[in-house]
Amino acid sequence: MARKSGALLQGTVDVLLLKTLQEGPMHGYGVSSAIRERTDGVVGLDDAALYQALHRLEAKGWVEAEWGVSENNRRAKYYRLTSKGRKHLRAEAATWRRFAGAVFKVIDG
Amino acid sequence: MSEAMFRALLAMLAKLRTQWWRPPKARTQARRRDDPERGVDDELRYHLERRAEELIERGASPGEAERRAVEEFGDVGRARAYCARMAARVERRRRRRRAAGDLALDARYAARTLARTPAFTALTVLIMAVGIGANTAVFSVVNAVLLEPLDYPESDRLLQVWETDTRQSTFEDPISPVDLQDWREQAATLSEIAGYGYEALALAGDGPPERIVGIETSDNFFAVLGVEPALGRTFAADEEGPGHRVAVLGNALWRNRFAADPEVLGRSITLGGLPYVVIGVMPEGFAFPSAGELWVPFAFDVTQMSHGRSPRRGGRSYRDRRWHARDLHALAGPTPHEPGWRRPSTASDAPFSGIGAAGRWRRTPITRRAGAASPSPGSPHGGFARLLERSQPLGRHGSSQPQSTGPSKLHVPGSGNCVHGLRPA
Repeated sequence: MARKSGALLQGTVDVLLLKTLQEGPMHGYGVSSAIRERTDGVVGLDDAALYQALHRLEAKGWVEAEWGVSENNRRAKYYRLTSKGRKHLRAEAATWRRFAGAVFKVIDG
Repeated sequence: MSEAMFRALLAMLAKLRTQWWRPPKARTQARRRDDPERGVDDELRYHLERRAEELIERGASPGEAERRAVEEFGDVGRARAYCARMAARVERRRRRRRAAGDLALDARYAARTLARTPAFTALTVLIMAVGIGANTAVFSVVNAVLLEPLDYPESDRLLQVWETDTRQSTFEDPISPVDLQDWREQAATLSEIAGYGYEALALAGDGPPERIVGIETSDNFFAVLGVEPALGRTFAADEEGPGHRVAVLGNALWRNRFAADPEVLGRSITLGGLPYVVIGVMPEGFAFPSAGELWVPFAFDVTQMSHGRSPRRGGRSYRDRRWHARDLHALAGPTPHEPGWRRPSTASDAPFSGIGAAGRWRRTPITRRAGAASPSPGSPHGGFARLLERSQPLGRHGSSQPQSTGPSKLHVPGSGNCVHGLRPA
């Protein structure tokens, strides 16, 4: 597994999590699997960091959590994006796009 | 209580019970759910179990799957501690919000319940309004009359003295000037005694004649009160008795009639047909008694009274006929809290000897009842009306010739007076 390969820039985790949760309520395990699939394992986000980030987002009010029943019929904590979180995601995504564009310009130019 | 209110009360009690009292089992469940650390443990365990199951599906042995799941996860202990801290913060906020929400719900519920019984609500509100209003009103009066100190230096040492007539069972009587004289000379527990009386006066000169409420006082009146004039001086010692025709103006009278002219000092004015010299002006706000507009010294000669006989009363002495003479009721000295104070109740117990045959007297602290009551027209004695009811009504609507308006039996030399004595020791 290429879990430890990609180093993460600060603030990236938040954007990744918020973006993932945009699709709908998800528990931590689901978020972890989704990120792993979507980034082809390139982004090395270990689960310990992921859970810490989720709780931090919850404390900031960008996501809210609720206990629910999972696909395999067990009790799991589901996270959902709040409107505050959605707004934050939009702002962060724009910043990221600008930043990435600038980096590409340097690399490709 | 209406049935609706009763039902509302029951519902409220039921609500309280569900909020603060839960069966033990429900309570532990609730605690478990609300405990942030437990929540974090449940969450992480779920993750690790799911991951292990996945690895087993892919062919790993259960033991290895568990080990790998934990290993992949990273630092479980640190994550657990951090998450628990964050979860506790979230839980606190949630609890606060829930409490606020409950309060809003309760308020809405109460409003709805009250709106359903408008008559009852209106009555309740009315009763509360009247109750609060009455309390406020009573307190305002009590505060002004009893609690707030008077605006005089050492006002707690100012006392009011009344005479009590044991023969007629009257008390808080006006006092004869003869008794006042005795008290002033013989009082042992009071540093000084001053007296005053009301005198309606016709003021002439410098404009149209005007009827004003004059106050006749003993020479120490202002000294006992402890007040200073704004202009000029007040009465000097022994400036009392026939022939001392000096006057101190009240501030309002000075401004209205004399245009606040500082040159008024030394000017001659006519009071009741006699010339008086203005010697002082009192500061704004001073009014004691409250109806007073101008102060003049006593014009009577006590020495003549105490030895003389009333020419119109069958030769009875002035002392015995105190009701027709001048009246006194106040003085001051050591307050009742001081050592050496005895509450005098009878003539034998009094600090005075030689007091009138009627004997009894008592004294009380001066209150605003005396100092601040404002007289209504027709009741010129203000706070002292009770004391003076047996003497002539005087003042604006009285006559400068007291004999002409008072009851016929009050045909006495001079006018009805109230003698007031005060003195901060």
